[in-house]
Amino acid sequence: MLFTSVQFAVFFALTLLLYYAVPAKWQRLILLCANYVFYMWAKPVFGLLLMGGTIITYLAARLTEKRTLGLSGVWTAAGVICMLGQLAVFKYADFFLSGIGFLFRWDNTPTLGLLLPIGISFYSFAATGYLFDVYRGKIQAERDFLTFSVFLSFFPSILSGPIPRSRELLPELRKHHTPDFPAMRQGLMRLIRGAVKKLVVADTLAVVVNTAYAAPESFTGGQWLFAVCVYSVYIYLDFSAYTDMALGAGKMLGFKLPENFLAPYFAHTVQDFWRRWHISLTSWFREYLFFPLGGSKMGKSRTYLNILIVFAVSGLWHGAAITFVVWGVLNGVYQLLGQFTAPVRSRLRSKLGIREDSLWLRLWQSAVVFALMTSLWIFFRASDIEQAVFIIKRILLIPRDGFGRQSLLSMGLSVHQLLVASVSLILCFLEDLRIYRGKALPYFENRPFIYCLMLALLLVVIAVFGAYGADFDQNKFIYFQF
Amino acid sequence: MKKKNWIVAAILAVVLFLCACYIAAWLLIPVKKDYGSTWESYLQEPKNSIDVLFFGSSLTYCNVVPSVIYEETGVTAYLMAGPEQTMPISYSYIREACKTQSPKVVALEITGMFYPRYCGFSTVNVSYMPWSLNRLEATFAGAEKELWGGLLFPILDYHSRWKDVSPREIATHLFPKPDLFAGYTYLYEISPQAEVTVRDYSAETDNYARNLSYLKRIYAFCKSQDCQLLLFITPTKGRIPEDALETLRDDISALDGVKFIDFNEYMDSLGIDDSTDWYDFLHFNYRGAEKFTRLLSARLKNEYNLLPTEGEDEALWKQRVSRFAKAGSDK
Repeated sequence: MLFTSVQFAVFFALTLLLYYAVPAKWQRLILLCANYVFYMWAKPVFGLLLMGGTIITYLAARLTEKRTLGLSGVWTAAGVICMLGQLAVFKYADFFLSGIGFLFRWDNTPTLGLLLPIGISFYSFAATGYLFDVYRGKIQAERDFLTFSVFLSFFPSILSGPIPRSRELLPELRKHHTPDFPAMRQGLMRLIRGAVKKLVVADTLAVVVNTAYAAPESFTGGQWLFAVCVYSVYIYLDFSAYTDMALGAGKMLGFKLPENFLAPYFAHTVQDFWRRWHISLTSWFREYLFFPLGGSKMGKSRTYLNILIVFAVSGLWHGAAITFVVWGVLNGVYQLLGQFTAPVRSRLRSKLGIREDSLWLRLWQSAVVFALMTSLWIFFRASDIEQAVFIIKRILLIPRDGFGRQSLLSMGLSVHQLLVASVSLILCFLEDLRIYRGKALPYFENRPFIYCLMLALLLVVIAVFGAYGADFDQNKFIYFQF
Repeated sequence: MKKKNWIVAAILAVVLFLCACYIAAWLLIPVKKDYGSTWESYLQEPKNSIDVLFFGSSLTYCNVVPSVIYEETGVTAYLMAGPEQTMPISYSYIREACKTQSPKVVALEITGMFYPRYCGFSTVNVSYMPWSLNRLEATFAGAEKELWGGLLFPILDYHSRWKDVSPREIATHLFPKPDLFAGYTYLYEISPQAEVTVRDYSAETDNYARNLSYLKRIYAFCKSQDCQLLLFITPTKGRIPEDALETLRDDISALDGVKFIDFNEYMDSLGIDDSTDWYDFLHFNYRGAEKFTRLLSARLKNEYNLLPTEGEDEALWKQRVSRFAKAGSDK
């Protein structure tokens, strides 16, 4: 079920009504039912997989805590293997089979052709993180199976995150939630703002990206430069729109899910970018992979290796394709290069008399980070390495070939659409600037007329400019595929 | 107090949202000047200035020329037909059109009696109607269920046009003008026709019975409005099967005082030239339409004793006559 669909609006309204109408002891049951209806909407059979994973994780955590048969690590390991094993089978089996086939030069590489259960990467990581936390004694294993089931299948975040932390969400789930109207209004505003971001801005930008990637040879270097920059913005808006909607929906139900973005394109370095981008995943990798590998406490070379491992795994987490691995590794390489060159750059700035807090320096750094990340998103979006290399070549040859005479208007958008997208982007930019400065976004939740006017205007903007209906291919959120 | 403010604000927001959506949809819907359902220009006609209102499908708006009727008889006529207008839609159209006009005769091209329940033009037929109970009835009785959402909230169907709509189109919606063809669609091209074919129509269907019930409602409505009902079939090369036509005749004869004319019976007297007067096998081009309309005018005048109307915008009608005469030479 898409957050931007009419079905979701109806489903969510009914869920809210029921959730707050029933007595405290029934709230979790209502939430669990809602979670499974939401999750099983497209493919009911995947609900069984989720339930299986829930049972295994629940039992593994309980057995770990009780040190059953004098063991604890074994039960944790068994649970982790099961959860990551199902992820491996459904997501990576064909990838590894094709790799083996390539190595051994098989003519016909067998494939399983399994459908990827939606959200599997997210809930597998949530379950694994929970098992590690129980094993390390950071939290107690959840005794109530119902509460744990709700945690692992929590519908606002199950499809594309933020990956919930058991130590944050489980205590919230045990509470009785009564309607907190100001918070609900904040949540609703955030949900609608997310829908505007997705339907009005991201899906409009998607037209340029999809047009370009559908026929790479047809476009000049200048057009490709435009398309890859648009993709950088598009993927951010698409994913952050989902996050806004997830956090908004969660808040309306009385839950505070973790923020996933903090104005990432305002980052000063690649390292800073990763502190601001997909925060729940980055912190998961830091806590459950980077630190166990030794983190930065085992010498410089080991630290660098750990960074590369984490980013390679992060790339693979995103998708079972070599393009994602390359994307991940290059992210690690950029980060390492950033660390290597930091002292040199700092000395250069002091020699040139550039203040560290200069606005122009900040702008320059953000522009460089944007350019670097954009160069990597090419691999992220490309169908294969050849396509990515082709696009990079086209762009790099701009000094020789020029930007080309083909208009940007041949990339699927009209002048009017570009205009509306530009205005919307400026608004998104201002929103991020506010976040970057650490200021809360205004929700006007205590000012009835301004709040309702804002809401009505946002809904009108969606109704008129939104990419929905028969004339549009409904673009799923990009991160659904992961 | 605070709770009251929130309730008032929420109601205002809903009203604002709905109004904005309906205004946006009204500005975004394509301007409709021909091929039926020309409600915007119809509503510009001076009130109670039309003597004969025509309804039906393309067989009406392509084959009947109101300016020729005026030229021949001084009687004012307007076509409020729509593409493959089904009987439930015709019923709603007649009721809605009679809100601003008090016609002496309602003339309905009756081929729609053999149409299936839905013909694929519900959106066009309903979307242009003014908002009223008649529109709602046309939606629920005449349109496919899956189209109801878009017909009730037209922004859903037309929002994607925001990038295509021109200032001229918006101006046309804001300042509509009367249609110089009075609902007629001018067809210039020639397609010689020789063979007469029989169309796959039957009166032995459930939908025919449903259509008949709507015909009876139309009859009752006309009676209540004190206007006469003329049911007619335009001459075409695609005929209704004789047995179906016979059933239709029998059913119409049960409606007291309703005239039925199958103009196919008068094909020879029309002076139609098969090599120059057809647009396709169902529709005349402007030459054929003019010839047919002259005969139709004579029948209207003779059988209904219609006198040249008073109170019409004479200048407008003279403009219409000259517009039709000039249209051919414009091509």
